[in-house]
Amino acid sequence: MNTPEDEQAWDDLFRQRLENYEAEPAADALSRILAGTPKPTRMNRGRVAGRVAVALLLLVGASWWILDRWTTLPEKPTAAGISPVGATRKPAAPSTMATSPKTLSPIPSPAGPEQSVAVGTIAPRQKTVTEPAQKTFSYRPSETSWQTQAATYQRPTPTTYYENVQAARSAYPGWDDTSSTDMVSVLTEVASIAEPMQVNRLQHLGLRWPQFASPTLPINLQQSDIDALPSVSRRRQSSLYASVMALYSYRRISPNTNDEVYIRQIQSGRTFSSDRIGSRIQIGKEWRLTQRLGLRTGLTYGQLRTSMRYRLQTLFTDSTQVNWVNDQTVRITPMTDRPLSVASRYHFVGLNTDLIVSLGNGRLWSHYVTAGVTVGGYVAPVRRQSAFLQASYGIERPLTSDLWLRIEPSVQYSLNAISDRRNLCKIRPYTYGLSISFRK
Amino acid sequence: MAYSTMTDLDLLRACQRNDPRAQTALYHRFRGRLMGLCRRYARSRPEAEDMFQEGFIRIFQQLHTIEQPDRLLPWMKRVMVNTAINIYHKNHRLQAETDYEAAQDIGTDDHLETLARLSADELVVLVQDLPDGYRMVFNLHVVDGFNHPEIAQMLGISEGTSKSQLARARAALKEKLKKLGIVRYEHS
Repeated sequence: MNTPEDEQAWDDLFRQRLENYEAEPAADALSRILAGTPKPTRMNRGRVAGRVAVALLLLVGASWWILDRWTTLPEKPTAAGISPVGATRKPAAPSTMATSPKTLSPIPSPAGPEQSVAVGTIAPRQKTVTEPAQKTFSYRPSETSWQTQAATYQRPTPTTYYENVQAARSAYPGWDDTSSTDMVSVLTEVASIAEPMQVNRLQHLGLRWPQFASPTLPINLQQSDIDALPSVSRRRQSSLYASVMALYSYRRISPNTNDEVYIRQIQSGRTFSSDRIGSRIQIGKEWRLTQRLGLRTGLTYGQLRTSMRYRLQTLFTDSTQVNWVNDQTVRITPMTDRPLSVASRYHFVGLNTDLIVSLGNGRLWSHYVTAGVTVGGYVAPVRRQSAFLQASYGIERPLTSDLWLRIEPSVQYSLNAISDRRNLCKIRPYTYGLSISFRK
Repeated sequence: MAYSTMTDLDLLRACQRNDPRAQTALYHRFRGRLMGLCRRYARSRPEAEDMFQEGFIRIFQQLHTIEQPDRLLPWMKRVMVNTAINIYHKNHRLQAETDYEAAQDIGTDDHLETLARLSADELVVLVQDLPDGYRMVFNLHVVDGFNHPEIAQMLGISEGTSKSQLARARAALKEKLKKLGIVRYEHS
C-alpha cells in the first residue's frame, strides 16, 4: 500500500516529466489552422444580400403597381401654380373630372327630361367638359376598370342649371364656364348641378382637392383663391431629418467554441417578448441628387436588448452529489446541467448613409425605398467595431409647408456577431422596425 | 521587427490585429508545448492532431478576449485543456464509466519503479493507454495541477468520482509499469 508521501512523489515525478512535454504537430497543421481561423461568412453575406435585393425588388414592384392603380388625377390643377409633391406625377388631364361612379347615386329629377350620362362612354383623357350643355362629367377611377364602373345619374333641368351658372357668374365675374380647364370650373359646375352633394362626399367620390387645402374649402373657389392657398414647397436640395425607430430583433445565437462547458437548450425571448425590443435614433442631413435619387447621412444611436436562457454541460448519468444532512440522513442529488439566464443591453453608435430612390406619388403620400449601411461600433457593454446593412420602404407627406412626415418600415442586418463575455454565446442581431421621421 | 524575436506580449498584440505573420510566429513558438499537451490528453495521435488544430483555431479566435496578456502560455494551455475536455464530453456523452468502488485497493506499491528510466514519449504512451476518464483526471490533477473540485466541475462529475478515477489511474499506470518489467520505483 502506497503512503500519501509515495503518491505525492510519484505524482511529482510524472509532473516533472510530462509538464513540459513537447511534440511535433503534423506538417500541414498550420495551414489547416489558418484556413479554419477566418469565419466562413461570405456565403452568409451573399445570401443576405440576395434576400435584401429580392425584398427591394418586391417593394419597388409593389409600389409601382399600387401607384399605377391609385394615381388617377393630378393632385391639383396646374393652373393653380402649386407644385406637385412628386416628380413622376402623371400629366393632368385638363378637363377630366374624377369622381367615383359607384358612389354617385342617381339623383332623381322631379321634372323634366331625364338625361342619363354614362360616363364610361366618354374617354376621360380626351373628353373635355367645355360646355355645360355637354351634360356629361367623366371621371376615371382607374385606368383598367372605369369603363365597367360607369354609373348614371339624372340631371336636373337645364333651367336649374343655367340659373345656377348665372348665379355663379354673378358671384365670380371671372369665371368662364366654357373653359373648364381648371378644377375650379369643373367643381363649380358639378356643384351647380348636384347641389345635394356635399364637399366631403365629393372627396369620397375621388375628387381631389389641391392637396393641402382645407377639405372644407368651398368648391367654387376662384383661381385667385387657389393661388392664395399656402403653397407646398418643392423638395429642397438639402434638408435635415430626425427619426426614431422602434425595432424588434431576431438573433442568430451560436455558442462560443472555447468554453469548457457545453451549451444546450438555448432559448431566447419569445416572439413578442419585451426582451427583444430596442430603439434607434438618427439625425442627419439629406441631399437631393437627381429627380429620383437622394442621399442621406447622419448619426445613429441604437440600443438593443437581448436575453436568453441556456443550460450548461450535460453530465454523466452516474454523477451524483452526496451530502450529509445529519448523522442519519444523506442527500443524494443527481448532478444535472445548470440553467443560466443572461440579459444584456447593447448600445451602438455609428454613421449611417442611405441612398433614397423615389418611386413616385400616390394620392397623399410619396413613396420611396432606401438602402444603405451604418458603420460604427458597440460602445457598451463591450466595445467592438460593427456595421449594419439596412433597407427600407417609406412613405412621406408634408405636414406643413416645410415639414415632412415619413413612415418607414426598415430592416437591418448586423455584419458582426457580438458577445459581452458574460454570456457564453455570440449574438448576431437582425432588426426590423418602424421608423418615424421628420424632414425639414 | 522580426516576429520571431518579438516578446509574447507584442506577438499577442499583433495577433489581435489578425496579422497572419504574427499568427504564424505564435504558432511556431508554442506548437511543441501545446501539441505535447494534446498528446497527453488524447487517446491517439490522430485525435491529438484534431485536438491541436481545434484548440489553436479557438486560440486565434479568442485572442482578443484574453484578460491577462502577460500569462499568454497558461491561457493557451487552458484553452487546449478546455478543448480536450470538450472532445472528451463529445466522445463520452452517453457513456458511464465511473463508480464509487474503493479504487485505491486496486493499486499496489509492490512494484514501484523508476519512472526516470522511461522517456517522456514512453510515459505519454502509457498515459494515452489509460481509459478516457482516468486519463483526463490524471492529466488534470497530476500534470496540470487542478484540484478535485475543479476537475469535478470541468468534467461534470463529483469530487468522489474524480478521486476514485485518479486512484484507478495511478493503479493502472503502476500495473503497466510492472508489465514493462520495471520492478522498482525510486524517487530522485
